[in-house]
Amino acid sequence: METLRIPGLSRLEGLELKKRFPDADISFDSSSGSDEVPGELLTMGVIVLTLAGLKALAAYLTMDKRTGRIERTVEIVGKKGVRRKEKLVVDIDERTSHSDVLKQVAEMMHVDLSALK
Amino acid sequence: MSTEAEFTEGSVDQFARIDLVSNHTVFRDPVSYHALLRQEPLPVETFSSFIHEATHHWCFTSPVGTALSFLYLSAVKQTLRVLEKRSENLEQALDDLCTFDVVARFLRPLNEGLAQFAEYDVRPSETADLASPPLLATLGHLFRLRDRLDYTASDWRERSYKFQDDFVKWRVSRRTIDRKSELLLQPLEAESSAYLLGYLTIKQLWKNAARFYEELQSADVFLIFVRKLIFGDYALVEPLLDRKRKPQARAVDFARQLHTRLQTIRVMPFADETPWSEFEAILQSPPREALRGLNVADPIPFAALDTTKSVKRGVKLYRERFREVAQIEPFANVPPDLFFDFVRERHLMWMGDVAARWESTGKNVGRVKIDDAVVFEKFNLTKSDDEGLDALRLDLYVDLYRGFQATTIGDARSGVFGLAIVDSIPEATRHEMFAARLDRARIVRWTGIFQRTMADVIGRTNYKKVMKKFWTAPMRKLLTQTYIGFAVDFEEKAERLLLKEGFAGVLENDPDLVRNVAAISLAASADLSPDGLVAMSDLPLDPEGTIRRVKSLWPIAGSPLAAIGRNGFLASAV
Repeated sequence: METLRIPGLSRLEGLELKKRFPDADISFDSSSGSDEVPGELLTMGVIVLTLAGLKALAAYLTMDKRTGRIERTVEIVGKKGVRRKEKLVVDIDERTSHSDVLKQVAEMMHVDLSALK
Repeated sequence: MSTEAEFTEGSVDQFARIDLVSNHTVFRDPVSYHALLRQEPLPVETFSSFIHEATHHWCFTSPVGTALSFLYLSAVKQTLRVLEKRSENLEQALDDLCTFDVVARFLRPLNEGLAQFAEYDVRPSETADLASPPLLATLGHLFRLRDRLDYTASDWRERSYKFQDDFVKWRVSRRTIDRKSELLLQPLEAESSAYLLGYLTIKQLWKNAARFYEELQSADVFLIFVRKLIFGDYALVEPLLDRKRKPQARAVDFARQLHTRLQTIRVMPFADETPWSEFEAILQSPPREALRGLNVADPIPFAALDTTKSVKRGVKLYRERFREVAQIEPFANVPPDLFFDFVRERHLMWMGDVAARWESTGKNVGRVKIDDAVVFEKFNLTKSDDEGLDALRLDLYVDLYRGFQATTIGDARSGVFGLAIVDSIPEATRHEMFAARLDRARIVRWTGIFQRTMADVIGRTNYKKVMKKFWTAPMRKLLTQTYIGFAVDFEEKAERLLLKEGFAGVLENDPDLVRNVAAISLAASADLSPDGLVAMSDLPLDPEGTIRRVKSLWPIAGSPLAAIGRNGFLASAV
């Protein structure tokens, strides 16, 4: 199964997303780089690329912002471990629904929503 | 740079960090620090990130921190000699590097524990006799408390209350609560994360310590105390630098002594015979004008308890290694004085850089401007001329130990050629500052080159295999065991529960409950009642409901996660 690696996704946000999307598989990479460099805590969330996972990602992107442009780089790790980075740019306003964001995100990541379970 | 680092590069603005070797800090939201150039106070929100990094900086400026830096720099220097075929002794370089790597990993929980304790538990006090350099710098340089309160004004007391209120509001704000929640949600084993293990260790030790000395009720004073007993102890420098022993033996001996120090802090066997005044004399910062050179944060070697002999050996090795690292040495492609600059400048905390412009007003005299604002007027260039001078780079530093701010002025063509520093700085310090190169961009560039060189060289040896062999499952367990008893105050039930489920499991994976517990712990550090917390926080909270709910979820009645203390203020073991 493909996974999405999301720098900055915190465990607290992970709990909130799990509450909303119980089927999403969300975990955290313990060797996120921050543990090798002294400094503030840096988190790296890992979401399995399923429909619930993508819904959780779409919700995460709009968690702190309801209008304007959101830019995030995520890394997609393929089944054979091949990695590719995608920069997600989502424009939202008060009328943008969660499913609008979901569609935009899927398109930018070249993911066919209908093929996801 | 690793793929991981490149990937996370996009979020580095959210992640303040420090390099142990050069002591170079990188701050989150560096733009906010530009106000320091205009002598303007920074908002209270900068407290958390600044004091976290300043605490690391202070620990790394200690004898133990500096000795670790010597180890790494010495390993690099020896490796360069081998690469230039002037030596064949790569083994000693790798031994030093191995000791550095293992000890740095053993110290990670303590480093992060102290930094987070500073962030979440230390608060400004007008009454404490002792204050740590990070806290003094926060109040003096970031918040410009003297100007902000203006003690000569009739309303200084109101201003003081307002500042305290702003600080407490930040401490229990949604942003701080979320950060503390994230800390509580970390795994407890050192293998997975150093943060929670280190924080709980310091927090429980603090709660114990206050029973022995009333003065240690101040989180800041406790921070000074722990730093001195561990980072300031030359007896701990000895195993680090003693090349007569195998690197693994040196590192394990260091870990053993670290554990002993933590145990000593927990039980304080000296408390009956040693009055606090003796500690106060040791912990007190000497007069700032007396501080010079390498040991600026710890000018007097400190012998903890019965380790006088080890301290003497530690001091001797420390001096030897300093000479070895700092000695000017010609290399084909490395500046001969570079290592000396690394050592000489690491006590200065870098706050960031900013682009500026030169506007000439006379021969080698001019003003320095950022956008349209003049930051330095009538600036006299003494070490270069201003012909063709235009785009500048300003680097801002704070000397945490002698309490001043300095700004270097340079450009891409000539590097650093000017230094702005207030007139009240003693002449000897001014001289020392002017004599230093203070070219941080150069230090950062060479740090990267050294890291790549060492990675390349060790890639051609069995170093990684040796390290893998060292970090066996029992050794990784030993790392966690160095701390975990202290972290849970030797409550086996708490240890089992937290290792199995973490606080997330204990708190039923409920993000609101986690936030409420984090809020109560932060409110406890600010002496707030439940009503006070609700009134001061920008997050809707239910402290009383949380206390009732958590009571049934957390089995250790003596160390409650959320409670109301006898004084009516909130209390928490975390």
